[in-house]
Amino acid sequence: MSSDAAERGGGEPGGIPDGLPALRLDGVTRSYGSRKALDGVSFTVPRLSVFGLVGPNGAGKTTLFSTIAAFLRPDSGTIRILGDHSPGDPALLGRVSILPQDALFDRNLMIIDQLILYRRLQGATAAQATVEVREALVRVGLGEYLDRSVTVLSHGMTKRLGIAQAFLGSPELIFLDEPTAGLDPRNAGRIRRVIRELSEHSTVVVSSHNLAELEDLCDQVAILDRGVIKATGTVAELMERQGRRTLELELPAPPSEELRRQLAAHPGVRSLAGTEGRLAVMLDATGPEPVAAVLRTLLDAGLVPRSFHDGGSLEEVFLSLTDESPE
Amino acid sequence: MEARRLLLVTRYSLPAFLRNGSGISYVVLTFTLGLLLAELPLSIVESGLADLEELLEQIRVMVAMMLAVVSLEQTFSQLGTLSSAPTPEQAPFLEWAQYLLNERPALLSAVLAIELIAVPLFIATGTFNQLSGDLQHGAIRYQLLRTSRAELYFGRFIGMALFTWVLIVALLLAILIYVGVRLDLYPWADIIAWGGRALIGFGVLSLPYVAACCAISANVASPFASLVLCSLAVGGVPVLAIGGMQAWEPLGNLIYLMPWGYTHHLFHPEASHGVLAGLGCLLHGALYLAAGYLLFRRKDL
Amino acid sequence: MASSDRPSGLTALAVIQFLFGVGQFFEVLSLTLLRFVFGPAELERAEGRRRGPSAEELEYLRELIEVPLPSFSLLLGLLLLSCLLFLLTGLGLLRRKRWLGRHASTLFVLVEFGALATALLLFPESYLRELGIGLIRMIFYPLFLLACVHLVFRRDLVN
Repeated sequence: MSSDAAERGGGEPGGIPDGLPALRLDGVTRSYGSRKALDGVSFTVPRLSVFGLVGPNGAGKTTLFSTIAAFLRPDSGTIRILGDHSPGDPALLGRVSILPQDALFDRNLMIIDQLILYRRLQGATAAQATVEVREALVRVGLGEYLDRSVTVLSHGMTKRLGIAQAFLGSPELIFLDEPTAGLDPRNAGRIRRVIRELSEHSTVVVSSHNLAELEDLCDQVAILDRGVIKATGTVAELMERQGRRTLELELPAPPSEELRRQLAAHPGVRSLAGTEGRLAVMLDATGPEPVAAVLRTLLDAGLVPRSFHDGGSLEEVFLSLTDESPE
Repeated sequence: MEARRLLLVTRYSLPAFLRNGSGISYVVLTFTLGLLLAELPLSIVESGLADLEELLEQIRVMVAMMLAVVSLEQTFSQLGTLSSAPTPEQAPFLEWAQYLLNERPALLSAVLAIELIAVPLFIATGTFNQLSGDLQHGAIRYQLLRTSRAELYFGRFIGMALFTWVLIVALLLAILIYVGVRLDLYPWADIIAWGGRALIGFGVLSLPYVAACCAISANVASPFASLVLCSLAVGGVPVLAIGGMQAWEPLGNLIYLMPWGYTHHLFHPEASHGVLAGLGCLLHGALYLAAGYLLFRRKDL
Repeated sequence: MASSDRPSGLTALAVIQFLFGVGQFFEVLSLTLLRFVFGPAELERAEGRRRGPSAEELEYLRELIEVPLPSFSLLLGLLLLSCLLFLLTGLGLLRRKRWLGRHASTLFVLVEFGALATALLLFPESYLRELGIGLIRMIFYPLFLLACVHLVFRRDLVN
C-alpha cells in the first residue's frame, strides 16, 4: 500500500462520508449529434467493491467512463463520486484514476518519466515517486522497460503499463476500461490478481467483454446496452432475476435415455440438451440443490463428469438482455 | 489551481517539448534563420558595400514610409509626398525614423525591425504543439485525473513562454554581442541601453503569439492542423489586412486581430508609446489565453 | 512490437546533423576549389579590372592562396573530419549509439571548434568577415548539440 493509501486508511475507507457509495449515477445522458450514447444511466457502486460493466461494442461503456472521468460532459443527469463530488472537482485529483481504452502514452518520453510525473502530480516527492513507479512496473512485469519508450511495448505490455499507471498512488476509485483485452492468459491472470489485491484498498470499476472474468472478479455488475442500463446487481442476483442457468457437463459416455428421463424429472431442471458426451442441463432454480441432485444422479449411474461448469450464467443473462452475442 | 502542480506541468513540459522534435526544430530554426536575417543589414556595412552614414540618409525616408504604413495612418497613395514635402501628419514618422537611425544604433534598429516581423512567425512554427499532440493521442487523459485542465493549460503555456523567452534572449544577446564586439560602431552604453529595451520589448511581444498558439493548440487535436492554423493566424492576419486595405480601407483594421498593428511602437521615441504597446501585447495575450481556456475547459477530451 | 523507441527529437537532431554535414562538405569543396583552381585565376583576372570581386573578397582570396600548404591542409583535414563526424554522429543519433551518438558528438564539437580556431589563426580578418554573423551559429550549434546529447537525450544514447 502506498503512503497515500495508508494515510487514508483510518476509520473511513477512502475518506468517503459514512453511508455514501463510491460512485452514484442518476439519469446520465450523453448524445453525439442525434445518437444517444448514454440514455438515463443510473447505478450505484458500493465502496471497496469490484464493479463490472458489461455491454456489447458501442453500448456506451467508454463514453460512460469518459463522462465519469470528466473527459466528456454529460447532457443531463448527475454523477457523484467519492461522496458528493462532481466529475472534474479538484478535490478528486489524485483520488480517482482510469485506464482509458483508446489513449496512448507519449512516445517521446521514457516510460519511467511519464509515470513519475503522474505520481508526482498526485503529491508524491520525486524520490517517493521513483520508488513507487519502479515497484508498480515490476508488479506488472515491465521492470526491464523503465528507460524505454512505449513504442517498444507490445499491445499487451502497453495495457499492463496502463494498469500500472492506474494503480499508482492507490487511488480510492479506479476505472479500468477493458483491462485484459488483448492479453495472453498468463498476463490476463496476472492483471486479475493485481486487481484483486488492489481492490482491498480501492473501489474498482471494470468494463469487459470477458463475462467469465467479470463473474470471477466482480461483486456487482451492470449490463449496458445501447446506452441504457438493462440490469444491475450481484451476479447471483442477476441470475436469480433471470430465473435460469445452464449446467454444462462433459461425460465419459453418452447418458442413456433412462438416465436422461431421471435427470429431467428433478425439480428445477427445465430441459436437457447436448450430444455424445456433452450434456447441457437447463435449470430454472438457483442455489446448489438442483446441481447437487443432477450430479448425484450421474454418479449413481456410474458417470463421473470429466468437466463441470455451472455455466454461462452471466453470459446467459447478458444474451437475454442484450439480444446480441458477446464479442 | 495549485502552484505545485502547475510548476510540475511546466517543468515536465520542457523536456517533453525538446524530445518531441518540435522543440529541436524551434531552437535551430529560430537561431539559424534569426541570425541569417540579422545578417542582411549587417553584411551591407560589414562587406563595405555602403558607407553607414550614406546608407542611413538613404533609408531614413524609406523607414518613415514603412512606419507610416504599418501604423495604418498613411495609405500608399499618400506616401508620395513624404520624401519631397512631408505633410504635418507625416512629420512624426520622419522623426521616428530619425530616432531609430540616428539617435539609436541604426544597425541594431534595422536588425530589430526585421526580427520584429520574423519572431512572431518563428513562434507560430515553433509553439503549435503545446497540447494538440497529447489531445490527438489521448495522452492527456492520463494526466487529467491528476491535475486540472487549468493547470495543464496554463502550465504548458508558462513552459512555452519561458522557453521562447530564453530562445529570443539568446538570439538577441548573440546579435548584440556580435555588433558590439565585431563591428565596433557604437559605444557599449548605447548598445546595452537599446539592447535592454529590445530584450524587454521582444519578451512582451512574444507573449500574445505564444498565447494564441496555446489557445489554438489546446483546441485542435492534430499537431499538423494546429501548425497550419497557428501559421495562418499569425502570418495570415497582416496579409489579410494589407490586402483587404487595398480593397476597402477599414479592412486594414483587421491587423489588430494580432498585435502586428502596434508592436513597432515598442521602439517609439516616446517611452509612453512603448509602454502602451507593451500593455497592448499583454492584453492581447490575456485575451487569447482566456478565450482558449474557456473553449478548452468545456472541450470533450 | 515496434522496433524503435527513438524520440522524434533525436530524429530531428540527426536530420539537422545530416543537413549541416552536407553544407559543411560543400564548404570544404568550395574552399579547396578556391585555393587550388578558381582562386589564382580569379586573382589574375581581377588585376587591372574595375568591376568584379570587391577588394575584401580579393583580400580573402589572396590570404587563402597564400596560406602555406601544410597549414591549409591542417584546416582542410579538420573541416573534412568535422564533416565526417557530422554524418557519423547523425547515424549514431539515429541508432541511439552511446559512442557514435554521444561521444562522437563531443569529439565533433572539439573538431569543429578546432577548425574554427585554425581558420581564424590562418586568416583572421578576412575569414571573420566571410563568416559574418554565421560565426555565432558556428559557436551556438555545437554547444546546443552538446547540451542535447549530454542532457536531453543522454539516457537514449545507450546502445
